[in-house]
Amino acid sequence: MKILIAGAGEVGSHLATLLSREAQDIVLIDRNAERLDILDSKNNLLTVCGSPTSFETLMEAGAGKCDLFVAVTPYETDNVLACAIAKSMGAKQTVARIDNMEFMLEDRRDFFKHQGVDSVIYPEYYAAKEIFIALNHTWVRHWFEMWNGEIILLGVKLTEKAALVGMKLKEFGPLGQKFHVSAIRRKHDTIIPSGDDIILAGDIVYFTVKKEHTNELRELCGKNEKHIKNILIAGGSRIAAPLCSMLSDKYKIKIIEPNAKECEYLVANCPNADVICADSRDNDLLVEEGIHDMDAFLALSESAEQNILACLMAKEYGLVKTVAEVENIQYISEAETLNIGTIVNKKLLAAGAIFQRMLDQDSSNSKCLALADAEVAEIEVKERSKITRAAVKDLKLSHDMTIAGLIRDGKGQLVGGNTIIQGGDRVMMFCLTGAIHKFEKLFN
Amino acid sequence: MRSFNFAMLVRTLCILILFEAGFMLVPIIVAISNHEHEALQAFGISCAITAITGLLGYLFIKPARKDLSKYDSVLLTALVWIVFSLFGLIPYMLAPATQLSFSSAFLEAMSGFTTTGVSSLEATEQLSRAIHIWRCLSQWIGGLGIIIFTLALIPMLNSSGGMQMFNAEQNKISQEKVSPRISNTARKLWGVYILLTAILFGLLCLGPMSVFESACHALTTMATGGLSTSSVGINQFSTPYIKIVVTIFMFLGGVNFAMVYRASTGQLRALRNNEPFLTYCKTIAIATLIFILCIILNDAVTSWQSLTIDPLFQVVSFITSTGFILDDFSNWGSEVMFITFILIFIGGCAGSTSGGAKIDRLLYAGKFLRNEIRKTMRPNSVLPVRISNRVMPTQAINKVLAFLLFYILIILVGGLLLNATGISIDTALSSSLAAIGNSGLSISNPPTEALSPAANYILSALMLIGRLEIMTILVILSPSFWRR
Repeated sequence: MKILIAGAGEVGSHLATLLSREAQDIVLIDRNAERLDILDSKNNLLTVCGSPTSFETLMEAGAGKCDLFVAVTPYETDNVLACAIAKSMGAKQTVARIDNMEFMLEDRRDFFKHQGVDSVIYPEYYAAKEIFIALNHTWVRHWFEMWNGEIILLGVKLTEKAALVGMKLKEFGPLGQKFHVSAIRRKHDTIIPSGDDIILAGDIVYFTVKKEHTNELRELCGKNEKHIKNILIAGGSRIAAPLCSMLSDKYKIKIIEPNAKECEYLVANCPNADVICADSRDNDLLVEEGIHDMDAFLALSESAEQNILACLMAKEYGLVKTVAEVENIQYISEAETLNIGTIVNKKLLAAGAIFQRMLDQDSSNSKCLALADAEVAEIEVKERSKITRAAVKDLKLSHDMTIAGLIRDGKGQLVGGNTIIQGGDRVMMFCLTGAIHKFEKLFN
Repeated sequence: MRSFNFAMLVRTLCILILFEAGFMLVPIIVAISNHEHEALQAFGISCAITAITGLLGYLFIKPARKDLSKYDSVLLTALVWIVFSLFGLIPYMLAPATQLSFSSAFLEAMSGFTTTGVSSLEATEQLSRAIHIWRCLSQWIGGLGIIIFTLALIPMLNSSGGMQMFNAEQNKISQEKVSPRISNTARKLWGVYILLTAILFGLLCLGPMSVFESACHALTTMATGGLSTSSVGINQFSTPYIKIVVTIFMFLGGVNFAMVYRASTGQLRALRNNEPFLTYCKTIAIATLIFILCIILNDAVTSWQSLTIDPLFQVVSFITSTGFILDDFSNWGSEVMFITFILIFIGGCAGSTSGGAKIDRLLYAGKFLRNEIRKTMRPNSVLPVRISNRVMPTQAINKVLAFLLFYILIILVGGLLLNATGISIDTALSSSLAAIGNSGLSISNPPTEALSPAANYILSALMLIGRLEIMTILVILSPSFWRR
């Protein structure tokens, strides 16, 4: 698949690196030649130096023949324009990054379609959604729902208290009927486990579970569900604004932001929040603003380091849930080993959105979540595709992927070795980074 | 010391050697079909040694880690060329007609793979056909690049490690990808290369050459290597037809292959707007005119060919570092020698099979120097180095200037070192220039057979440095490469 990426900023570079490892044909366009040189020398891709909104540059990069055009420059207007140009040249599908809630609305879709933008991605909005989910499920790190929550993929960090710790997967016995261990994240590696693997304390375990068994699983993991009411947000207006619009009046929100300009923006856009213009690193201020009474602390500033440290500090105040935005991907696994609740990363969320478009070009039926070094995808199975031809244990799936669960006739079920996948099913696949392109063979 | 992934390095090398063993089957087939028993034995043994070494490494070395760092990749690229030469020299040592010493055989092999075309084998008519085809084949493999060849075939290298090897073999300025993925790029470039060689082979067959001679000359002309099947070189077939055909394909060998690929897919605009390519054409035209002038002034006109195809053939042969020399060339006077050395220094377009400092770099440097001269009087003017209507960043210019400085220094140092081994200073310097430019001219006097082992190794090193366009080798020679 030929994919053009316009803009080699943080999101663009990450996408290009990731997708080039998925054996896709990647062309990266940016104005900055030096930045391109660095990416070019390390990755298997083609770079074109020039403006993403120049007809000539896009022509040279082959926008007319590409299957997917992704515009992720820092400016949404540039992105929309670049998509419009690419579409007019014959790009099959175009995606523009936006950072504006208004553009995201359902009834604007036709307008953008008309402009040549097939779909939009809004990483800050996805981050807000992640945080929203995290606030509703305080005991998990990740919560990925499939088919209205019929099947749920949960990432849980297990402590000594969990009953499952120390068990081999094959020893679960009847418990194993209720959930499926899709992957284990241990230190810096993600493992797709076999029956002989043992669950250790400190692991983040990704379970697939049916809706009705989530509470049972929570008890097995030794966790409690707590209700969140008071939320303190430190910095990060770009995520905070869409988040506030999602959170209803049930919550009490306080935002601490050092920049006066940003504060004005927040006051205008988040009527349900109490905005304080101050440095969130000031301890006295935090106490003054009642950090002791808070349930959740969200560190969303630009600096990953600051967010991680702020969350650690907040944990000491006894907060139930902390969320840190960690933009530096290398820091994610470090942050996971520390006791920080949920970690959000805009780049990964954007990557997930692009993977989703890669997986099915015709319909938007797939869902995809990118983790630090793995991806989860929900895919509809076509009749007579390779995956339907044998029982799961005889499919000879490569070791970097597993089938986590499936939906048949609107009902969720777990997948065992003897399950036979049928056409029309929707399956949840869990794979390590670099393996997502292998799906194409399986599902076609 | 820096920690290298040696296990993976050696294993990859062994896999690559297996390819070389595969190439050795060609001379074996030639030997069988020509009933050359001694050559068959020599190549049989060589092929067996190469294949067994490769297989042993492939089967028994199991690296713990599979990733190759940037340092590993650069080292691997340089080692590939050396190891290929080490195994490629075995036939030269074993074959009864040659029986070269180790150092001469190494020079012979290195001269082959780097498309230099220097040979210590004097009476080449007495060589077996198997040796001939092996010499020509090694030039052809080295012409486009061993790494590119393997990238096209081994999916394992289609990763960032492979990318770095590609970058190490094709110096940055000359690298132009034609496809986002490196394996595709390699396949396309090789496709063009093989196709052109096949066309040339067909055209040569139509002339006075035998099929075998056509094959040999097609391989060495396309690679701009310049080896021939006889000691009189191309002169044994000096009909106008052969000269014209060879000139055209030498010319193509000196053009950036990525551009040849584009042109072959109908994007002729790529050629018309490419300044290095136009400069390449202009340089050939001007040099040819000077040659014609010299020929007239020296009263060396023997036929209509002396004023048309001969000087053109000779100029293209030099600028592309092929090194075919016509008989009449010695009568054209000492003035043409001067132009010849300049042509050898310049070389063809970057990304081609030719040698030299590459016309792209000289174009950059020339424009930069012109700007500097203008700036002395108008210091406030902003003068860009514009190539093909694109302003080049200062960094790129710096790289080019550093390259040229190293290039000239290495020619000097190489020449002085050769002088120290007992070669007269003028021969030493011109040999150094010809070796680093992969041209292979002028070392014929004195014949390389008389060279000391030290001189053989110096020349081999110069050829490799020139083929990998300096930096890859310099980096490895620098202490910081090895230190932590």
